[in-house]
Amino acid sequence: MLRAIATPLSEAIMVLGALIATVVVASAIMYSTSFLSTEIKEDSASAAKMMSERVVFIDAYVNKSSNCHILFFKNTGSQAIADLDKASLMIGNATITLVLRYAGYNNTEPGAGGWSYSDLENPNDVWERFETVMVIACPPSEVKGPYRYTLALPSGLVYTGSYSG
Amino acid sequence: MVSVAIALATAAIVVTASLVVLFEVWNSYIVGYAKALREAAEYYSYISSASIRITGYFFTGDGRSIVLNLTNTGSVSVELDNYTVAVVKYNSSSTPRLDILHWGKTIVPVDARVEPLTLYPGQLVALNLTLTYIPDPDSTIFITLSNKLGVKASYALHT
Repeated sequence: MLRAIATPLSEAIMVLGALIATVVVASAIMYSTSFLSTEIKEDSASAAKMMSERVVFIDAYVNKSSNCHILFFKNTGSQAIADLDKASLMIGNATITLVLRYAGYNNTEPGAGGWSYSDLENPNDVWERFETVMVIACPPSEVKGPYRYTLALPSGLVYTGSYSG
Repeated sequence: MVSVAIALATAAIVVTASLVVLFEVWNSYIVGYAKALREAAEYYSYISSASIRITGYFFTGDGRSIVLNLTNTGSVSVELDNYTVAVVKYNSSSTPRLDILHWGKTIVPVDARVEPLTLYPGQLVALNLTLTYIPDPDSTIFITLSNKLGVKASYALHT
């Protein structure tokens, strides 16, 4: 009698154990897959963004009376740059570099230590492909030329160059 | 035996499904990255072969207009369209000024055709630039003209 019950019971316990083990292993694999997928997707988006963003410096003008530098850049990449407000801008020369604070879109008077930008061809606060951006940068103190700029985009791309004004 | 078979079959299905998902994600990553890489390579290949120069100029009678001769000195064609811009710096003793000129508005081909223009290697186009300010006599203005891809030409013009 006991033997008759014991065999199906042990079989049931083994099936249950196997199922639990399978569920645990499957959960672990699915979690890892999901984690890896997310990582790959994020890396992919980041890498593609970095590869497709390109900026070309056009020219710069220094207004000595207001101590503001006006720089022109073109978006020559394959996509729009919507987060230019999160970029970092530095103005300086061979001996000094001054970090400026962002002072708003289309702000013609960013004040000492501030910088602003406006997009020229289609003014909508999005730096579209091929569009020119005018940056007004006013260092907190006077900088002597030849000048240097450093523009660091949120994607991690850093552009640097010099100009005489 | 049955339980082991069930476990193995389930594990095989889960592993296969996970591998398929991973492959699809990885594949999209590779495709996206390759596309961006190809575009970047094409751009840098193009920009290294593209070149334009201002090969001549003269001021017209009213003093506010300049006719610029722009020549494609590179080995690839250069497009001039609504994203073409010119930055003009007035270096006069009185008031230094800045001017921004746009294609179709203040930059117009002399033949007055304002639609996008493709400048082929060796080709010259005469552009009529209308300045906002009249430059001082005996002063210098600096012009930088750039097309949409950052192919640019700079020149110092004496008035």
